Amino acid sequence: MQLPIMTNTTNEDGCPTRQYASRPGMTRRSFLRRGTAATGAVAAIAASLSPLRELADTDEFTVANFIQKHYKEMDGQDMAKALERISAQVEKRYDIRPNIRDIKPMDGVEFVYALNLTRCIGCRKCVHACVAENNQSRSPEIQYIRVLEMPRGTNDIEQGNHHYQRATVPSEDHYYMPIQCHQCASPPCVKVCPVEATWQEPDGITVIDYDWCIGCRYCEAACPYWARRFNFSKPSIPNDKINPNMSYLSNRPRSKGVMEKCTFCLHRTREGKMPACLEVCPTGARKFGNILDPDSDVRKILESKRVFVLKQDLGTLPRFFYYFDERDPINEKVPTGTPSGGDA
Amino acid sequence: MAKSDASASRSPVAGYFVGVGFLILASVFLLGKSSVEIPLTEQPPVRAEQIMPGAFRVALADPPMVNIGTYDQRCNDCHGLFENTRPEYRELTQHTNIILDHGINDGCLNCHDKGDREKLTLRGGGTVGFDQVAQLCAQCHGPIYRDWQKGSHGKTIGYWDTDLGEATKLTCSQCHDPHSPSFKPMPPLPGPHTLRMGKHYADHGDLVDDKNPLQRWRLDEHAESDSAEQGGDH
Repeated sequence: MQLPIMTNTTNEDGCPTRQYASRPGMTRRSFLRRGTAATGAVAAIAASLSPLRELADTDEFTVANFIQKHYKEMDGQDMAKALERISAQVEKRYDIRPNIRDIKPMDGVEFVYALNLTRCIGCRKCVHACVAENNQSRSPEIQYIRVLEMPRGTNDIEQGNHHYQRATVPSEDHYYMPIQCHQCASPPCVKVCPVEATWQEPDGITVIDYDWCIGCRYCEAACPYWARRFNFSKPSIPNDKINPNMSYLSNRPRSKGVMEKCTFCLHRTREGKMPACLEVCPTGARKFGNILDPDSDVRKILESKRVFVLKQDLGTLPRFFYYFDERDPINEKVPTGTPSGGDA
Repeated sequence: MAKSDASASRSPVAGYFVGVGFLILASVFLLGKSSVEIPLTEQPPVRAEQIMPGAFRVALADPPMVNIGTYDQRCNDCHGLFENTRPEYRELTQHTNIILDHGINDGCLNCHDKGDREKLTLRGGGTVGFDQVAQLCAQCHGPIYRDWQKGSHGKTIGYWDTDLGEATKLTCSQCHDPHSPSFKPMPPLPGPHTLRMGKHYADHGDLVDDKNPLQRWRLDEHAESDSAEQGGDH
């Protein structure tokens, strides 16, 4: 039905309405209709933004944190402020005053890790010593070290299982290969970071500025060694489990939505100590030191043992070396037979 | 036809539905749980003593003290009193807690000095203290001793940078029990506590899935199939 340009008419309910061609439909009914829709839409948008209210409940988001500079751009004063802010945050959250500092790399030091696969028994003590040392979230638990249980006779890590649950280890027909950050000399994770929140330090340790990370997880995807971990939820650590010996680039508490990784315990190793995973290893399979020092254990191991790196073909140049002893006392006990999965 | 479609789409009822829909959505956002609950099971606790750093076991010092009866004694407190004339290979009446499982090395006096029980005997003659046990072990375990000297075998704790602190190179008996030197199997600590994808890792039956939030629907499935099987039996 054609309507005139402007007319008084009645609608189907018999109510008189005035309709304008330039503003068609602006009746009381349509006004209410549109008003309801608009109000609903605004309410829905406001409600969908409501999770932001949670940010106010936590101490993670502060203006000081937001305007903080990148680690490499901070001067001494900026760093002092940042450390003070983090200390106060830790004290408020965990009721403990941390000894937090920014430890710089040492001159003439390049860290190298060597791991004796003949000796590793897969007890996972290193995994949990690492969790305790580096203030990782306990629920959900974040572990930097992944111990692969590998069938004997292969080094195809796709056949490794890191969820093994046994009454006792080692299993006679497996060997164990712990994997953590290899601190590559050509790290793929650093290349992909869109905001330069992760970089390689002069002593070879790849670090993350947790306040600069945007949580895109590109580095996790890029790492061929599954060494990076993401905080999917707010890390929860019991107050009595906090390690107060902290540094800015390693084990200070992280927040939700940032990446973290093994830093060779740089708050320990940059002060001359051994990393926590080495200290706890019951079999002495783990070796750590300065490769530039000709008298160091790792230097002698790299010179005298047949070491190998994982996924050498990728060209990542890891600083984490594996080696076997010439004699394998555990393997000698195993009767010869099908190496793996023959009749399992 | 097109015009009637257009007028239908402008029908007032549709507009109210949109508005009411938005309001329902808003109330869901506001009243629903704001944070996502991650359905992870409790991680078995790891006790502090399970991850103690340092030496794996306590080695005898020099001079050695041995707990006999209720208190610690020097070896020669007993062995110095008289000369033992009984045969070496016999059932021990003292030190019965010692289980000798050292391969073909099955005699006490292969290592312990017959004259001075607070010393260890070397094959070529001479004795060393208990803190020099590596020299004794080296007589049979040459390649391992070489590796230990070079640092590829054994454990060095403390400081890697000896300018800053002391490096402690543990000796043989701080990891190995000299009477039973092979490493004993031990229970592993808990594994990764993550979402687990797929079943290919599971070599311990289907029940491993109860730790996997992504596989929980399978639990219901199992329960249903179990009950169905039971029903079929009856």
